[in-house]
Amino acid sequence: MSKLLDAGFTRLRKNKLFWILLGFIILFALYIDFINYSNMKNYNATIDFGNFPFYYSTMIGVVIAIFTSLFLGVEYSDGIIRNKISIGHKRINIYLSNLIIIIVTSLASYVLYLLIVSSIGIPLFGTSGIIFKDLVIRILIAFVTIIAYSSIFTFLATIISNKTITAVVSIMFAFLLMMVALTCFNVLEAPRYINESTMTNGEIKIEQVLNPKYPSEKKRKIYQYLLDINPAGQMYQITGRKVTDLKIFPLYSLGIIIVFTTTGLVMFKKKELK
Amino acid sequence: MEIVLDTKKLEKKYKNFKALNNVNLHIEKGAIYGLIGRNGAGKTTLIRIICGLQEPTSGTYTIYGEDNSSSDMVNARKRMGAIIETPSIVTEMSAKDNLIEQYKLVGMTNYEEIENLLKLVGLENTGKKKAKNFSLGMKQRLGIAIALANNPDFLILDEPINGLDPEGIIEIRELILKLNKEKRITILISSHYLDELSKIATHYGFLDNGEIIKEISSEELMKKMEHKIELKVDNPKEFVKYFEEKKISYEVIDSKTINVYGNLNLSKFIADLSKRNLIAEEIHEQEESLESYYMNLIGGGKVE
Repeated sequence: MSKLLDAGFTRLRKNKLFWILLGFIILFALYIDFINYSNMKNYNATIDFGNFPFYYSTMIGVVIAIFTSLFLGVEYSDGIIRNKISIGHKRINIYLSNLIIIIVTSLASYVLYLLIVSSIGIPLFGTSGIIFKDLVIRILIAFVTIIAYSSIFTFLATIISNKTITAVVSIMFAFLLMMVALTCFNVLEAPRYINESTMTNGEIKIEQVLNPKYPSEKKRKIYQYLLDINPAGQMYQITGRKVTDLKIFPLYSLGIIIVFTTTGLVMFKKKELK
Repeated sequence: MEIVLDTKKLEKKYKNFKALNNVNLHIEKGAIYGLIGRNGAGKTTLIRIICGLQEPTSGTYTIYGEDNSSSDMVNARKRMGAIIETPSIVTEMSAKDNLIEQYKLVGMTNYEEIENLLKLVGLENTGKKKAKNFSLGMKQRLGIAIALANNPDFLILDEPINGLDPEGIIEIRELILKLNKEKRITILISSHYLDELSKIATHYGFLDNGEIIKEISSEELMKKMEHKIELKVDNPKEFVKYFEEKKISYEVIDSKTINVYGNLNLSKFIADLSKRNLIAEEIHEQEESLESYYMNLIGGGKVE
């Protein structure tokens, strides 16, 4: 396994996509600081630095999907997996080493974002109003969600042998997770009562009525569950600080990691390689 | 003689299609084994199975005595290098970086040998040029260098000269011979370029419709490919006695057929036989090449 990791990280360092990813993150972090500073200066807006660490986390799923599908897709297109197996590496070690490389890269990209956005953002905006314990917990939970994302996209990149198909499926899946999360959010955010205006004898009357789109308690539980189990949903909730139960997120993420990695290992072990 | 690869009744099915059927193949240490078969004969499937990329539907194989179901097979594979269809190279990296990557994969920490390896395959002057900009021949040679990184005892090359120009073909041929002679590497090479294989192989396996229809050494094959006169006779014993006496190379094929080898003048040969009252019912003069031998094999179905 150590040989696979050593070779994998060497390939990562030589990989153009990896450096593009780092460059993108640096630019994105600088953009977040700049745009907020601009708002503060031009519109006297009050900037809460507590949100900064999570701007990147909402889109990290798509970033990991693109990076993983292209980085691991090369393992099939350039015959790297074939080579690893034919010189005696076990499939389980190949899968796990790739997963570790993707996890480390994804976490490193997030840490880099945090470092840059904080090193410029804190001096500019200060830290007033930030509860550090809460911030650290949310960041740590985001770390676990990133690992869950990595396990999903490593699974897809390993069971699909075609780089282009992997990229398309992974990116579409990342967006699908985001869309499902937003749909759940919208349903859950629906107000219990809505205003209804009626006109009686030329007089407009506004009264509060029960919102027909307000989900029942049973439906709310289902939507909340779908939101909590979905890595994109977790990220939205962490970012928006509308978390019902933070502690449950790492458990769901752990479930995703176990399910996708175990299934991936079983499927990859049986996979007929060409 | 140590057997490097031994397959027994190997079978591979894809739904209703049998890609390999009852394949029994034996490769001795030090051999250059030419696996011959037309496109779709099952060569690549066989190589994929040997390299662990696919599992056989039934049957077994051993590499250096390790059974395919044994957990020690991974150790036997560490003595192997392979190019399967296309060379396994990271196209975004230079030749040297590809070799460093491979050295890391096989756990070698000393990179001094890399320069020698690049020289061996004639890529020492490629510098930082990325492999994606290499010619097909250069990629193939880099693939061989990568396959050699772990100092393998057994090298598998699947169609290594496909798509190469004549110069590239000569380079690969010379490299294979050098590896076999100087480094004593056993080589399994699959190809449908019969002329090329006939220049390097010490043994042949003919694969057709997923079956090994013949295994033969190059010595035996050369004998068969010599100028040959086929005689149909009623009294083979008398003919054999005469050939023994005259030290003429021959082979009794069946109770009525004898093949005579060597550069004999046909009319003088017939005249000599007549003097001894040896009359053949039929006489056919044949000149055989690897190509015609292969075509006869395929056309004639199973042999021996």
